[in-house]
Parts: sequence; C-alpha cells; structure tokens
Amino acid sequence: MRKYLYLMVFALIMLFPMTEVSAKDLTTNSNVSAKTYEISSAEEDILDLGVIKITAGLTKEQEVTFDKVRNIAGEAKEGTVLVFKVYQDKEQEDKETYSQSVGASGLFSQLINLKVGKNYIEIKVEQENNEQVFLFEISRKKEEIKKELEEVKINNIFSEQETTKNTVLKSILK
Amino acid sequence: MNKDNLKTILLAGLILASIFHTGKLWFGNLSGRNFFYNLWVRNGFDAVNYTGEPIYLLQPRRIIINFGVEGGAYTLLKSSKEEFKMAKEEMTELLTAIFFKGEFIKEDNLNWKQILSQKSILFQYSGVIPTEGLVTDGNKLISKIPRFDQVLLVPSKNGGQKATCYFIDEGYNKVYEVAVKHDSMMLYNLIDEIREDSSQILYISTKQSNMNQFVNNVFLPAFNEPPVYQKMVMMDPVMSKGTIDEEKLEQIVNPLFMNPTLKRKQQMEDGTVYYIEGSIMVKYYPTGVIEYIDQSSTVKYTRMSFIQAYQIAKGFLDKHQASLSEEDLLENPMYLSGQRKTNAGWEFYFDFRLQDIPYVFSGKIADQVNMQHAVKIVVEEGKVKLYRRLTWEGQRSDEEYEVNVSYLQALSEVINQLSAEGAQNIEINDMYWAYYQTDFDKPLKVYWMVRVGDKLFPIKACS
Repeated sequence: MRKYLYLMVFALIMLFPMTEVSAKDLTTNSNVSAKTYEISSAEEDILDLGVIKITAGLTKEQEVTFDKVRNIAGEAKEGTVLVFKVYQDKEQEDKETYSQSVGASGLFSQLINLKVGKNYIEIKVEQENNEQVFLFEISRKKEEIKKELEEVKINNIFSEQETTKNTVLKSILK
Repeated sequence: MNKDNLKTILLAGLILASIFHTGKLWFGNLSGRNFFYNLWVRNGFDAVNYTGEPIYLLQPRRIIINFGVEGGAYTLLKSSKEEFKMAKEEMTELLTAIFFKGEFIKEDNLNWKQILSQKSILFQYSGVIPTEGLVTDGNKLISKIPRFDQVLLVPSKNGGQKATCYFIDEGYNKVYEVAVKHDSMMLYNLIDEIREDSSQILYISTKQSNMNQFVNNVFLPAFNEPPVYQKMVMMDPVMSKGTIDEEKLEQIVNPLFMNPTLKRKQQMEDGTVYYIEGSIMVKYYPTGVIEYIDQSSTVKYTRMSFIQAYQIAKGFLDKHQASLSEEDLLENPMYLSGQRKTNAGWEFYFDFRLQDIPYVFSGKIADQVNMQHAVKIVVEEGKVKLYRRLTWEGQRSDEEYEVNVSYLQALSEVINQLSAEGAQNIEINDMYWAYYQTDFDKPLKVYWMVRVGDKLFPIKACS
C-alpha cells in the first residue's frame, strides 16, 4: 500500500510542472520555463520569472482588459535579448515581432497593441546558452461593454431594483 | 461762481499742465532727477495688471493625461494645442473651488501606484509652489497644504459628484487628498476624447513600472514607430552678418523704457550697446542677450510671497512679450522653468519651447552668454530689478529626422558613462526630450536630457 502511495506522490510531483509547461510549450529548441507565474511576495506587483522580472504590464498568465495598449516593462541581466511576439492565432503567419537587447540599465520595455479578442504575447528570453519562452494571454473586451458597465448606476444595493441591476450586469458581462 | 473765478481756475490748470510738460521736456535725459519722475515711475512699465485670484497665474509645465490602464499609459498634452489651454483653465476653476470650499480628506505618504490607478490628469509645476497667497480669502485648507509641486485630479463623470484632488509634494514624499463638489465632467470627457485619438507615442510612469533607478516619478515616451521631428536653427534677429540691426534692437528695447525717445545710447568697443533713461539701463550684448536693470532703490524691504513676486515677474514679461509680438519678434513660447527665493526677493527662470519641446543649450553656450536659462527675472522691493533674456528665435529647417533612440538606450549610455567614471548606485532625477544646441552655429536636434543630481547629460535621440 505504501509503495502505491509513494508512486502516487511521485506521479503527482511529475505531473505538477507539466500543467505549468502546457501554456508555454511552443518551440522544440527552447528550454521552456517551468517556473510558476506568481507575484513576488517581497515586491508588490512584480512577476518574477527567474531569468527576467516583469515589473509592469503583466501580472498573471491570463488577463482580461478593455485597454488598446499594454506596456510591458521589467528587469533583466545586461546582454539579455528579448523577443516579443504578439498574435491572435497560433497558426498566424504575420505575428507582430519586436526585439530588444537589455543595456547597462538592466531594464526592458515594450509597447504592445492589443486587438479585440484573444491576444497571445510570447516573450522569448535569450541569455548566452539559455533560452526560455513565456506565454501570456490577454483578452481584450469591446469598448462598448465598458461604456455600458459605466452607465449602470448602483445607487443602493439593497434597493428593490437590485435584482434587475444584477441581471443587467450579468447580461453585459456575458 | 462768476466768470472771472472760472477763468482763474482754468488758468491755474493750464499753468500746472505747462509746468508738468516742461519738466518732461527739460529733464528728459536726466529724468531720474526730475521732480515729476516718481509720478511716471508709479504708472510705468509695471506690467500687465491681472484681476481675479492669483491662482489663475499658475502655469503648469506639463499636463499629463492618465488613461488609467493596467501597467500605465499616459500622454502629454502639447502646450500649443487647444486641449492644453482648456485643461489649464478648467483646472484653475477647480483649484479655486477647492481652496474656497474643498473638503480636506487626509495627508498621507506618497504612493504613486495607488493614486495613478484611476483615470486622471496630472498637472506638473516647475518647482515647489507655496500655497500662501494663492487665493485672497480661502478656507483653512491652505494651512493644511503648505506646498505642492504637482496636482493630480480625478474628475467625476457626473457633474453632481465630487472630484478628488491630490496635492503632491514629491520632495517631501507627501500627498494631500481633497474632495470638492464641482463639475469636472469636461475634464473627464477630455480624457476619453484624447484616448480615442491617442498618438503613436504613449508615456509610461517610472514609479508605476517599478523602475527603481529613478528617484522621482518620470514620464517616459514609448513607441513602436519612431516619431519624426524637424531640425531647428537659432537666430539672433538683431545681428545680421556681424552688424547690429539697430531698428530691430530698438523695437526690442523701447518697450522697456518709460519714454524711449528720451533714452541715451552708447556703444562700447566690444559691441555692447547701452541705453539709459533715468534709473533704467538696458544693455545689449552681441552674443544675443538683453539686460534690463532698474537702478532705483526704495531701500524698504518688502516681503513677498511666491505668488506676489511671480505676479510681478509674469506681468512684466507678458507686457514686454506683447510689444514684441506686435512687431513679430522673439515669439518663442516660454514656460516657467524654475524659481528661487533669495534674501532680497525672488528669482524666476523661463525657457523656450520649440515645437512643444523645451529648448536647452550647452554649458559652452551658457558660459558665453552668462545665462543658464533663456530668461531670468529678479523681483525685489516689489518690482523687477533685473530682466535678462536671449534675443534668439527658433526657426524650422526643412530637414527631418526620426527620433529612434529609446529611453532605455539613452539611459544605458548615461549609466555606461558614469560607471566608467567609477559611479555606483546611479539615481536618475529626470529625463526628457529637448531641442539641444551644442554650439552657436550648430542646428538644434532632439536629445535625451538625463539629469543625475545637478548634472545634465545630453544624449542624441537619433542614431
């Protein structure tokens, strides 16, 4: 019985990083990062990816936004090359590509245009013999939805109209 | 009253008028010793008289629109555009309302990320503004907000709602939150309109992006398509092929005198021209500088608040500028770039803007013209004692070029330079684009100006 238990725990340990990699398994040549995307507890809002730190613009793998643009900024070692690819479909051929090399400031920054719908942002990090790829997804919702949401006034959540308002909100969000 | 008495009064009036005018004529060149001189001085070149609250005089150096997006996206309003003027006027109305009926919420430590999380407009001023005297009869708010250098306004969408205002004192890391019931819908809509038409250049906030190399919150332009700018040249309209155009020079100096026809002129061997009328002396240096000095002294020390002194300086400058504009001369737009309190009064510095970008000249030029800014005004004893300004005009050249060096590249260059000198833990105070002139005969190009401590590092913005 104990043997099975050990085996199960081992299998779970093996499976755990697999789920993390699934979103980033993009290139066969890349040493795809298995690092969990998490906000650094020491520094607020900083996404520590090991080889780079994202200090603004991305806080998790998947996000929803109304914004047309997103500036992704962060820190990396001098000499690190970063390639940003933005696309809506993985098979898409005309992917928007931006590349930059980190200088003495140890900073990087990239302005990304977001289209309505799903936007995949692939960040390839090249450091000497190491290459890692990280993938993020930002879903941009239509501006009209935002406007409609702004129009919905919630004056008193305990009022009789509460049910009606909630229904309106739910329908808009859908 | 009989006819004879009436004639006597009329005669007395005529005698007095004749004495007054004879005094003007006879003592022209010695008008400073003239019995009537003080009467003229009182009504003299003491500038434009502003009515209304002094707060109306405050001119923001930059107006930044915060779209309130994740990660931060901003745009800078161009000072030549109508939106800038509109935002400034609306803000002044709101500031006045705040100082009269605003509700003080709290004083807190400055947390940029927190206050920039909402759709808002940031007004940045040159230097610290003491609140004393900003309004003539305000509420107790002024005692709770001693000074500020920036104001962040969070407008409300509906006219009936309260607008929130943050008075920021970045030097002391303080923020004062105030709420006021005032219609700020126009500013709210302005943000939306600008967002719809946002240009290819967006700005980021260094504090919001956690860029710890920056001491202050600096807004830096980010772009994927490099913007295109025209080269500029600086010309002194007074100097034409090495000789002084006296007609133009007189057009510039005459508005500074009470009675320009009475001024005396003297030219020195080095080309410096002196004009004197009474206690007023105006010099023109062939490097392209005029210097106005009021030599009269009232001995009495007058304590002036920032806004009182600024009112005098601005009024003086505006009046001179209005006369110059009538002659189509020296029309570069200007902005207040700094101020300093001295033992005797206040000093104000103004600089030119060319195509909405500040104009900066090299240390070499500064040494030759003995000026660090385009205009310097010294206010003492309740009047302008010294006024120095460049007589240069910026003109567009046909040549265009791309500004393709990013702030990251410019920053790395400065860090490399300083590291080579052995500097460690480099902290950046400010970074911005400017039309920079390296030497007198060189054209102006856009450079990155990186300020580290008191040093300014110009880095070419086009490769």
